[in-house]
Amino acid sequence: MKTFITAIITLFAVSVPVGALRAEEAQDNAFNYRRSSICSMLVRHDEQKFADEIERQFLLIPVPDKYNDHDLSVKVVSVDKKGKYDADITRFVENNRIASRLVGKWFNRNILNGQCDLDLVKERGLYNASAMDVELAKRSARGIAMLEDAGEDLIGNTYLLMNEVSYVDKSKRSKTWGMIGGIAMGILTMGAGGSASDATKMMNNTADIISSYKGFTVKIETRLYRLVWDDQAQGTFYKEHYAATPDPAKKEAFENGRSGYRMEYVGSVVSKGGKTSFLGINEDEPEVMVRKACARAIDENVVDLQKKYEFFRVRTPIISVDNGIRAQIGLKEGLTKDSRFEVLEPQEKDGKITYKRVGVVKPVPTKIWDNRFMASEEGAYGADFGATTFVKESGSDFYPGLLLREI
Amino acid sequence: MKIAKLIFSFALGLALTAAQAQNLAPDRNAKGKWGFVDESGRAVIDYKYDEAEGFVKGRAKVKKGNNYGYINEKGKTVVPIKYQELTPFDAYSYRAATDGKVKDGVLLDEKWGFIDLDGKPLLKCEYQEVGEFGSNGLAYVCKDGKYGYINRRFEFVVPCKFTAVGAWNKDGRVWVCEGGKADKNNPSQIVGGKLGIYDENGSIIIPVKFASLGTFTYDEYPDEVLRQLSIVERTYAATLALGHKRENKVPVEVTKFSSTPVCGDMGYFYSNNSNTYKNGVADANGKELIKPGAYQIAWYPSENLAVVLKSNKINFLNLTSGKLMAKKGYANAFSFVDGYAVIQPAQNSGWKLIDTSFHDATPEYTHIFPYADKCYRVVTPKGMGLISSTGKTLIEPSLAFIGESNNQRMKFRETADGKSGYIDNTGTRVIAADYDDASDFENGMAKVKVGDNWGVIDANGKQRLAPLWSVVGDIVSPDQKEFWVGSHTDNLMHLYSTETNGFVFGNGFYGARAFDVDIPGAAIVTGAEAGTIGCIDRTGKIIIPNEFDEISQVVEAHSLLSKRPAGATWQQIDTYRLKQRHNPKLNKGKLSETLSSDLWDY
Repeated sequence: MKTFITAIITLFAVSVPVGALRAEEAQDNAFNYRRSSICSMLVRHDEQKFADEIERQFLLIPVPDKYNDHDLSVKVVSVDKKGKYDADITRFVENNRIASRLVGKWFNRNILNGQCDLDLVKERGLYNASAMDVELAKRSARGIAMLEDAGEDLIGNTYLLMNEVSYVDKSKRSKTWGMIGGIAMGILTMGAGGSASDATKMMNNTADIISSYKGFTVKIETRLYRLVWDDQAQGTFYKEHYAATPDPAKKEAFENGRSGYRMEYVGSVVSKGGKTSFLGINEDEPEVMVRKACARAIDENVVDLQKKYEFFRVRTPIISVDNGIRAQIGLKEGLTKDSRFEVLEPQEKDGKITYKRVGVVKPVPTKIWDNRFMASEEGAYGADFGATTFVKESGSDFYPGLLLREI
Repeated sequence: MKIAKLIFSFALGLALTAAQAQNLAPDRNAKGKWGFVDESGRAVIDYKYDEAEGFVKGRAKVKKGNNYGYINEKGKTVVPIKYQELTPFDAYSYRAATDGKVKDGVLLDEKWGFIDLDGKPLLKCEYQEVGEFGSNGLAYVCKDGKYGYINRRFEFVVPCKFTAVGAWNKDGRVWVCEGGKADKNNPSQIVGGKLGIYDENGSIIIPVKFASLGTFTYDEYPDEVLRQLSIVERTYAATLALGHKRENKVPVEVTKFSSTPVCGDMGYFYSNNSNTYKNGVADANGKELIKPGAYQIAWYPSENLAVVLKSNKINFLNLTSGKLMAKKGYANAFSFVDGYAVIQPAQNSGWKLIDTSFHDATPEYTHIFPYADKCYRVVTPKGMGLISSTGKTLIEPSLAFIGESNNQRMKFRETADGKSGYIDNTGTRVIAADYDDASDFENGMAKVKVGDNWGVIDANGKQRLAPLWSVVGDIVSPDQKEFWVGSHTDNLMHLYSTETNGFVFGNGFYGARAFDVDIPGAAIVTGAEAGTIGCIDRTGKIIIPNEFDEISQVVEAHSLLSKRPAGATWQQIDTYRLKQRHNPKLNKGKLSETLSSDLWDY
């Protein structure tokens, strides 16, 4: 299979001058190393208070750090009453052939004519080109092709997060509606051509009073599905569905064969539903509170899923060693002063990258990065660190590009 | 002693520096309690808090049970841990809450106040809400559902007794509403209640007693007109005339609180009626000029004379004498401009100008168009003419047509089927009537037609584009050198350069908008299929194919494409996906459904 993939890449790929990658570019790209890809969807409860606000804000929440954005056009589906929806969600995933759509996205498959390309595979492969990769590539007989293949390997690490807002707190809204509403027929403009928009231009508010949330509590159940990208799926795709040029027959074959691609249900977690502080929430943007609560609940779930499922766990590269060992991982990923990380060195073996443990590090307690959503706006301690600093517990000299994985 | 003090100060300084240099971080132990550790991980402040934030300027917010306070780097409590919520210090005070109950992690029914750096109360915690201090040093507070404003000295600038208060405007004014209640059908609106205006010093500008309140707004008019009120728009005259029959229909526009400044630049009107009927008028400082109730409608005065409606007759109120100046009143009238006003003595009668002595300054005309460019266009049975703002005849009313003034030029025709030229506001024929048709001036140029061909001239009549074209596109700038022109040969629009006297590129389009108007460096063009649009670059190369119906989507497509690597081109699938994003059915599906395939991008 690997030979076949390499053949496709050789046929259609434009070679990329990895050797020309500057060290700092490699370091920038290191942040993206070995990222899994995530598609995140919201199961909206129409019957819930704040359903509209939650949907609006969910659509603004970025894909969690250290994952590639693999979202599809459909981001939200609804239910209209309370209930248990485990089976319904799985059925939705199956009936709507989401697995095939995620595969299609990997190959930028043109839904109109069936044409595919390897740009995204290569791109995500080359995003993985940390300084270490570049070094490896220089030494490797397969060179660039190996890096591109590494991107192809990432397809099996494609996940679907189905986020169901299972509980919303009945937090009261402020009654300061004087400023957002109006006095019916009360405040008027009169004369030649006064209008609301003109009036807005003339405003110079200094103290808007607006609707606000007294805190916002939300519980989100996140169900995790993994794209099944086994030999059978790969074989079917490359042999029967991959079309380098518009191909009506293969287009039809893919459409008819969508059900052959599968998502595997992995498990679920529920966020704790703790109160979200309104610190950092600009008073004239109260809905950001909803986004903050939802984003943190999803982040919390992603961390919990990582703890439960090792294959979902991210490996984070060391980005510098000049002033301590630094890596862009922090409180959002559940780091504490007691966390321990193994240091992994990527190595090429038989054309595949494997990882060798070369040491252990732990965070400096006072230098843990607070990278939680909106931590900067809160003025939280460590929000401006940009990375967590680690100290070595064991191992030899480390260098940027080596990977950290929690143990 | 001095030396001892110096040593003490130095030692204190060192101690403080050492304390600040400790670099403590909040840390949670296995039991879930928070304390603070130093860089080695050693616990410096015990794990005894339920929450802890990092130190900022030597203080850290901590929580015990449901209460917050602040400690210093020695672990000493500096703000008592007794507040259910504390906002960050804003250089003057903390906002603090007490006496609430926590339900499902959310604080409810708490009372807010302000405390100083040491936790000393500045404003007792007894308010439902307290706002942030604005740049004017004022913050709103709410107690028992009533709102007011306090200053930094925690004195009430606006008493805490209003159902709603507005935002401060640029002039330091705010509206308030006393009484009233939320509309059942629209809870964000208050019905009833009395309105008034305060300034930042707490002075009442307009007493809080009016059912309606508003401003005269004329901001879309030039300064010379700004000084005048209710003079310009003919539509307002029509509305005013309508007022004779239906008194409660007045030219007002209801706006929301959120976008309604009480600007006051041009004065206020107010009424005991919710529709401004029988309104009063005050100047920008709140000085009452016309009492409410005296007239059916009153406009802001001009030249000490205010247009008012009384007994269904329009009249002029002399603010000094308080007298109505016209014996019989008028059917209609506009305010005075340059010492003269346009009036219509009776319904179905003609219109004329009067002076401030209320003597006729002109004969009666069938109609007088609104004041513009210091003159009026007038109509008689013999034709149209032009008079100055003082009533002096500039052009005898004998022309078939005089158009609106644009760029100080008015299009005219001597006879109904005659040729077109242009006059200025002195009545001078500045561009001879040599054209078979002509447009209004825009950006200092006008499109003119000779025979079947259109060209472009400037304000002096100088040719800027030879009249050779079936149509000429928009004129968007005074120094425009390239024009979209319609070719008689292929009936397509081509871009023509007046510098090279040739087409900029070979291809043509069914329609085209000017470059840079919608997208920098690009022009929206219409494809062969009527109605489908895309865009091109300055070389005529198609950037976004003609596959869209709306300009906004072409703009979005161009923006998306510009973020891709150099050399990327827009594909049909891109159009498909972009249109999909705007599909109103997207994200509206049910979990139980198999969604339509046209909602999926892959």
